[in-house]
Amino acid sequence: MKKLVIYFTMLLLIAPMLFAITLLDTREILVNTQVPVFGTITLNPISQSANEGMPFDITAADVDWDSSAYDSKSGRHIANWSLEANMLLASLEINATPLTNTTDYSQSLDYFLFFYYTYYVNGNTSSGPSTGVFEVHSGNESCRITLSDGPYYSFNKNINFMFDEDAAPANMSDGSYVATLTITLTEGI
Amino acid sequence: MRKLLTLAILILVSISFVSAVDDSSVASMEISAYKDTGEQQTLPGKILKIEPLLSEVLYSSKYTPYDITSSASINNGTASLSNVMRITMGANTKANFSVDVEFTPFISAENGSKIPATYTFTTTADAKAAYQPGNSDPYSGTKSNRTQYQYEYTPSISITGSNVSGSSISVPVSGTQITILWKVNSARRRQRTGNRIRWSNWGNYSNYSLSNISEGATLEGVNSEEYYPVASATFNLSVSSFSSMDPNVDYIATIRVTVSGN
Repeated sequence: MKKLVIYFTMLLLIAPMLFAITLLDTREILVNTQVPVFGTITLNPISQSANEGMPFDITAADVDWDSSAYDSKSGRHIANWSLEANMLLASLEINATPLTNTTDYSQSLDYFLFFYYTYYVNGNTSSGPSTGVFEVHSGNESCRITLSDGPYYSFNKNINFMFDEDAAPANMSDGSYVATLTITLTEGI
Repeated sequence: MRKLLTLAILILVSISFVSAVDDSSVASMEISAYKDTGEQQTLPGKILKIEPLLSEVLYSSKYTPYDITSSASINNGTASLSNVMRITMGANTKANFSVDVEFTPFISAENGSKIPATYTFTTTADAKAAYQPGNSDPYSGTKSNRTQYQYEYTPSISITGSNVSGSSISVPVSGTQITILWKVNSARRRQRTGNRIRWSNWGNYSNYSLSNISEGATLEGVNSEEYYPVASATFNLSVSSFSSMDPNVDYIATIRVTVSGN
């Protein structure tokens, strides 16, 4: 019985110290693991003018397939996009449906979209941002772009449009053509 | 004892992961083109512009999250932010249009703790004129056989959601989602015919079919000034529940907008 009382008394003395150690660990873990995350994607279509915007004539030269224009990722400037996200790893799920005649769904054309963006090499902001570009081809399935060097702040950069090499807009019927572009930003890759 | 410490660490790490914001954002737009229609082309049917206006502040402050405490006026636990975001619907958009908006609670940048908030929105909606397609610039010479219409419509915005009461939105720590419904309440029309270079007087509101507004709207330049048949709304935000916030800590709240118009 005497031993039991001694053990119990020792336990009561040690318990507050253990609790203090636990609290210390708590603080350390919270500081190191809490990262508030935010992200925003913005699309701004451009209204039609002589050299850019929508709607555009599908037989115009600036949207027609051209290998040199494809290499330089030019095409027609139809919209701007912005990306702001403070996450380190991010993914863009991009879906661009084929450009389809609004009255005859059998008539559709595939195309490329060139997305321009700015970034800092290795996150170093001491020098000006670099410019990059990635391309997305239209289709029924989404294209996934992974980003692994956040944070990302790219504002109001071009989205350029160009038909792919199989498209034959001259053979299409008269009428209006529409497609839908959807971009989803998620954290992680 | 080791087991106890390990268990405590596991629980805390789990809580940390749960409280990190699994953020996502969706943006959508329509690509519009034509071939040899020989008519004035309408703007894309669902053209939309969503401008998170505060993001400009994010950018200019070199990656520093928008400091709500220094930029907003705080008085008795309430902060006000102007021009939080602007949403614009464009030509040929249907008269009624909905946008889903998701709000997160305020999240401490120091330890990730979440603070429930009450947002109070005030919105401003403005309308611009829409023009009937098929006519060239009315100021370029005389044309006897033409009638041109100009429309003006007045949009309104209503907000619905389970946590909405009037213009106030209560945001629990789990976040909430609301739906903003755009509705064109009324419209009026005026016209000019033949050689007339003057518009007739505006008709009364509600004297013209809203469906014709949405289907006939187009982009046309008049006197070198472009008239876009759009309606836009700017959201101003007032936030309460600041009393439990530490003025020395940054807090981040996110507003996600998903376009789901018809």
